[in-house]
Amino acid sequence: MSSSAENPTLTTEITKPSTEIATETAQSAKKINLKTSDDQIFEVEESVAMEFATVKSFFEDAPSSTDTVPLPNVPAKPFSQVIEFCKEQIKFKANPDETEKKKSNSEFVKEKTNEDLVEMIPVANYLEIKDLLDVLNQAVADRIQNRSVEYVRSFFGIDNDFTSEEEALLREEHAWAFEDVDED
Amino acid sequence: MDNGGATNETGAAKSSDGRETEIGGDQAAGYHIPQELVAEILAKLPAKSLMRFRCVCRTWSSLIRDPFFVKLHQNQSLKKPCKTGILVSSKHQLSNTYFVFADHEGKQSFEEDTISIPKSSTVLGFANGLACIVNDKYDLSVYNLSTHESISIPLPPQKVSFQDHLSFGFDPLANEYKIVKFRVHEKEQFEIFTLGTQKVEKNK
Repeated sequence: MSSSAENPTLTTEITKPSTEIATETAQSAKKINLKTSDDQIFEVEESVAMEFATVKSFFEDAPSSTDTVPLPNVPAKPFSQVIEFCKEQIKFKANPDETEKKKSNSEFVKEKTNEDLVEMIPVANYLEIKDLLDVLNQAVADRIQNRSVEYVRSFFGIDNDFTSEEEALLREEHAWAFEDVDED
Repeated sequence: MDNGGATNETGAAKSSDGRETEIGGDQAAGYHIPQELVAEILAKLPAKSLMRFRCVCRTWSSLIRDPFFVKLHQNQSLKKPCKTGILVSSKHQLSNTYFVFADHEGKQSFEEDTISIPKSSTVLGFANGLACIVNDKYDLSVYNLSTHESISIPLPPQKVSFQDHLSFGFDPLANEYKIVKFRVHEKEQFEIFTLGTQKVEKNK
């Protein structure tokens, strides 16, 4: 036992004869450069980048490409948070544990501001990261569920285009839906 | 490629025209959630929130009423643990018949979601969260238990009488709600009314 701990390379050597695993190890070390809309370059591990369906299909079309991949709809700030999420997700790919995954997902969204969530959603959509999109959509739904109309307008950056008479009428029509709403 | 629309407040202020939102509805970077994703988010909300959020703006109001959205919301709702509804009625002539709900964990207060239905009414049947109700004057109405809305159903062509037996159901193939009417002693004769249409099928 202790001898293998002293010599961590030993295990690698044992598995090496299998060429398949050897290539996999080599690939996972490969980095991909991704350029955001605000011209920042992110060096991302290939395994993480392959979580982005949009990037994945880029490489399926041009497998040998070594160029920097432009992400014209992705600003750096939400992108770094998206990468953070995907790094976590990959751990669960090798070792699926639904309870732990849920816990990790809810911790991820818990510490994000409303603005963070709103900015990440178009990015997750553009990069086609379905799991993240689901997590974000659910997080937004949870945050607005018991909130007032005014809160939701500012959350989504929506201007009220009803006249005050129209709005009063709608509120009257569904008065019960305005009971027990959380304070803003 | 230099999509200046990224108006995040942190650092990115270098783009002088940072507030330019010309890119419009097309995957707007920055603040706005694309409309089709708004629908995905709203579909995860309970009906009570949706009834409130009809006030947010005209776009949301029509989205929430859109048949496509209603279907999307229904599909989402089916994935969730369903609420248990209990019909409470009293033999007292003057008391209301009403529904109470509890969610799957019994968390929700029983009083909160109470929906009153008119006095001396009978429930003909339930389908997809709708309840079809007939009062003592044989007026029919359909209640949406989630949105607390109701509509009255004009039953053509002749009135229903005490001799008639009525039943309510949903045909998933045709996506239609139907009411079946038959006479208590003449079960081989019946009429089927399809809601939202003038269609009457008779068996004779």
